[in-house]
Amino acid sequence: MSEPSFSDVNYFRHRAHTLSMGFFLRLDEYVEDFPTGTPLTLIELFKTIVKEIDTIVERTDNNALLNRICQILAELSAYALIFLDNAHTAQTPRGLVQMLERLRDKLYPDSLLLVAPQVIHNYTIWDLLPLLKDLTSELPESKAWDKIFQPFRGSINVVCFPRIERENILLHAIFGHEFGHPIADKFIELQERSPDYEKKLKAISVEVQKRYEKQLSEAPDVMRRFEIETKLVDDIEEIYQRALKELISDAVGTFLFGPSALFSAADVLIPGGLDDLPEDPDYYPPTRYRLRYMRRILEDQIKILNSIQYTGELEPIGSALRQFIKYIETLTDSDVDTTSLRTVPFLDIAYTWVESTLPDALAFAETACREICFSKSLIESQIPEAVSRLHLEVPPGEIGKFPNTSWVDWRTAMLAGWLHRIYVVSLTDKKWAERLEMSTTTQRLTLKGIEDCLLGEHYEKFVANGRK
Amino acid sequence: MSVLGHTRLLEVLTITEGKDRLFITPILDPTQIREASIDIRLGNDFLTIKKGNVGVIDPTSRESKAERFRINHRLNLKEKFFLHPNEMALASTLEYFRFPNYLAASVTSRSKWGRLGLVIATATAVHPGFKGTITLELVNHSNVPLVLYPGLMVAQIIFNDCEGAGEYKGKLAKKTAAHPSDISQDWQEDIRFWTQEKRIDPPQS
Repeated sequence: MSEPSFSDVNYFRHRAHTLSMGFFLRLDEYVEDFPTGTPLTLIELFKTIVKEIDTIVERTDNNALLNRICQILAELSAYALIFLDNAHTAQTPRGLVQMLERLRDKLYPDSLLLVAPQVIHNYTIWDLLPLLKDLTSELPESKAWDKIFQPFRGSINVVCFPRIERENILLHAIFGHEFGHPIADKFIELQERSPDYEKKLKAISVEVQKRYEKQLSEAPDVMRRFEIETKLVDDIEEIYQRALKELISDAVGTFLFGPSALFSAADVLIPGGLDDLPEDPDYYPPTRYRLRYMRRILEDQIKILNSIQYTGELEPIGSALRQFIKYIETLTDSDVDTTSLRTVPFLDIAYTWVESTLPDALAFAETACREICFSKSLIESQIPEAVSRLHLEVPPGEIGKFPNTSWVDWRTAMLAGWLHRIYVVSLTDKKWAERLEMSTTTQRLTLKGIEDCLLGEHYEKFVANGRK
Repeated sequence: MSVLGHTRLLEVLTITEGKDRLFITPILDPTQIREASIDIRLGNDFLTIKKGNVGVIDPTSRESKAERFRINHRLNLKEKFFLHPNEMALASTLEYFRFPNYLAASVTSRSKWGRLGLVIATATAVHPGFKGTITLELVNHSNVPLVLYPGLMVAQIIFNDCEGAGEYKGKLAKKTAAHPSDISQDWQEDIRFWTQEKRIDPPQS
């Protein structure tokens, strides 16, 4: 019988192996159907990472490294499992993933996309790749890691939606905003690198000294005065950047999804309050400000939408839409938010800066989305019949009569869904349960319409290529 | 009650007034419209029943946890579904239908697949006014597993005129995926007459 011999290195080597085995077994358990190949690619990536970590664990006698590896494995597994657990098709509608992949193909062609629900009621997007590289950069054998990550030239975008909104395909137009965040980040990065940015910060500093003269003069000493002034300038910069991030992302949403972006933003943002001023730590712009900005960008499209003459049984749909648009217009015509912003000097300074930057920001966003913008011409040519089909309880994926049908743009299908939902919700003579059932049917048919038109376009290309 | 032939099928698919038109979407290939039927495709969703912790399916039991004994398979394009010998699976058609009130239909397997042992089993009458994808009951009567893919044209739908019908308003309407039976919810008022079992009501909250 062998004599036991304790060593802390062996003990924590065993601990690391236990963690990696548990992680590996969990990855092996993913046998469900996934809507795309990305989850499977990520599962293989994580397995490769775990195997590489195992070889490091076996070779090292460095106890500090082994302990750090235990922490890294715990963190990696949390990131992997939290998203993969619910990325299967039962929890993540196929049509949703398909439409987001269309956007990804044009905006971020080298990137992978993982779509999954999350518990918190929020839509988020973030790049997993820098996190994985960051964690593994602490480990030896950098050449091995370079080789593991080499196939991933773009980003690994993890896009999450609130789990309770899974069926609410119409609300997922919010993803346009999420896809806008990398574009917004890029714009801000370019701004910061430009020589004008430093000049602007200096000008802000002068403005702060003027507007806060009294407060600064009451500081007990020069150091404290400097601290107060620096904090104000830093806060103004942060408020400015946050405003740009959100507004540029909102703009991208409108370019990608058209009026559906505005309608979904209204659904999500209005319940949280219209006029809350930007506050530490997030400094989000007021909702009314954001909706007004989106409305301005969509002015032409809303005008066309509002001008469509619906007749006969469809007339109430047109009426409900006009009332809803009037509601949005009244809400965004009010300047309660901008008046409040002007009363707080540092917010006033920040938002004056924002407004001077917005034209360039909008042009930047529009260029980035150029290849996949929703065209206003589709509103007149496709929406009336798509809505008519929904009203007949038929998916709005195509228009026309057989054999001369044509697929709609999938954003048209979504917008038709919105128009029908707005109408259904306005039927106040019906009980809420009946309205809820009707709008659930609208959602379901809209999702089918989106899936069908994406499939149909794909099939047409197959036929055009000689069925190869 | 006449079966609709090719010409009449084209007519009903192209009626201007939406309420009176037969909608089938998507029809990816116009050759799906045959002499007296329309070939229809498998959709992406399959349901199978698993053995295990369910002893029996009893219509007198109001327990509604049907999820316990079914498995949802949601396939992407080009993914395989294996239907094993003597296994039954529910599948949805890719096509969504909206029937006008003057048409009814029945669904059968296409003979190419029937000769391989794939049968579209019972309950495939489609009522006038029906809206939705159609749930197909697939049974493999052969001795070897069959590989099925979304998009395969395994079935055909045969339409006939129908007079005096109203719109279908049953529970199977407006579905867009394979829909299982909720037999325990389909409570007949005369169930006691037929089963001699006491009616088991769900617990009151």
